[in-house]
Amino acid sequence: MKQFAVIGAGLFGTSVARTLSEEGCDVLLIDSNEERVRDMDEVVSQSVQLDATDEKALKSVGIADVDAVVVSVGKDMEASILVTMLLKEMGIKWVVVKAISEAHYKILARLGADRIVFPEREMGVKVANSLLHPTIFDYLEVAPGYNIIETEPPPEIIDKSIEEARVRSRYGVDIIAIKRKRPVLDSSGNSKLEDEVTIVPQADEIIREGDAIVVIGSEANLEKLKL
Amino acid sequence: MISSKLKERRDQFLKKLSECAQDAEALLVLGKSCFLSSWYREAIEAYKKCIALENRNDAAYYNLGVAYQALGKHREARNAFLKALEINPNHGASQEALNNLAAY
Repeated sequence: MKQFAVIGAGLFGTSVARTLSEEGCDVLLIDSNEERVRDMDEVVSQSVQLDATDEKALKSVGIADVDAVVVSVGKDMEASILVTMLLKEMGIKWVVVKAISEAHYKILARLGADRIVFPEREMGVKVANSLLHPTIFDYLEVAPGYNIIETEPPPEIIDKSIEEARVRSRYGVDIIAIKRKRPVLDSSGNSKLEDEVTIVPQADEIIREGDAIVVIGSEANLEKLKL
Repeated sequence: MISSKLKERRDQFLKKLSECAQDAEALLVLGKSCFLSSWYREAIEAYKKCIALENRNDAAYYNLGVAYQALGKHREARNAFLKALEINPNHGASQEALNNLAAY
């Protein structure tokens, strides 16, 4: 079982900890606030109240043994920097830190944080893109100039198989997955939609209205799909 | 090939629709069976006919919302869920669907 530690039980930290726990991981949650620690007691494997800037205290809970640590200590930039430094000195293999400003980001990068997340900035870009291109549901940069996007299929390829739609020759991109809502009825007889994902769909797979297609390609070619 | 299948499906649907044109409950069932076959546009048509007969039918509005959602028509889906909640403020499925739409 994978083991993780999350330092900081704010909204971000608890979301990370809860998701990892739900996926069956062993999660150690650390915060200096007793109430926050108590609130997460039944959600994670271990919820501990301690000052994460105290090296001895950190070592005493076995933090050196986890696979990765997520540092999310709210607005306290100084504490975040100190904790990151301690973790890297302890030889933690993978340290993910939440940055709260550009300056904070730069310092964390110099300290050797393995991954720095800037939720406000990342979410801001996503929200702006979703306003500009409402049919683009999500995107991911895979290499400079190349992205994976999840989008609504253009009308001209609906009700056609992937082969008939000639997506590669028409747009210069490849469909790597189709996300579809599967219609079901629940126990009360109410209609409901369940997510169904077909990874690397076959050439005879029909693209239907309401599907989302996950597509890989260059930025220029992906632009052609933006409605 | 696909267009002839679509026509056949449409004829089949219209026949069923005329059979239960004045029965709100039957229209709701017809809508659900269209929905289960992924015939979302036909499901919407059946639910709308059901609502025309019974304009306080919260279940019809909820199911209408889910069919709109299946087509990616989120604004229409939201309006249908809101209408179901206006008729029945305790309609839990509509509240849940509305929450999910807001997170979308």
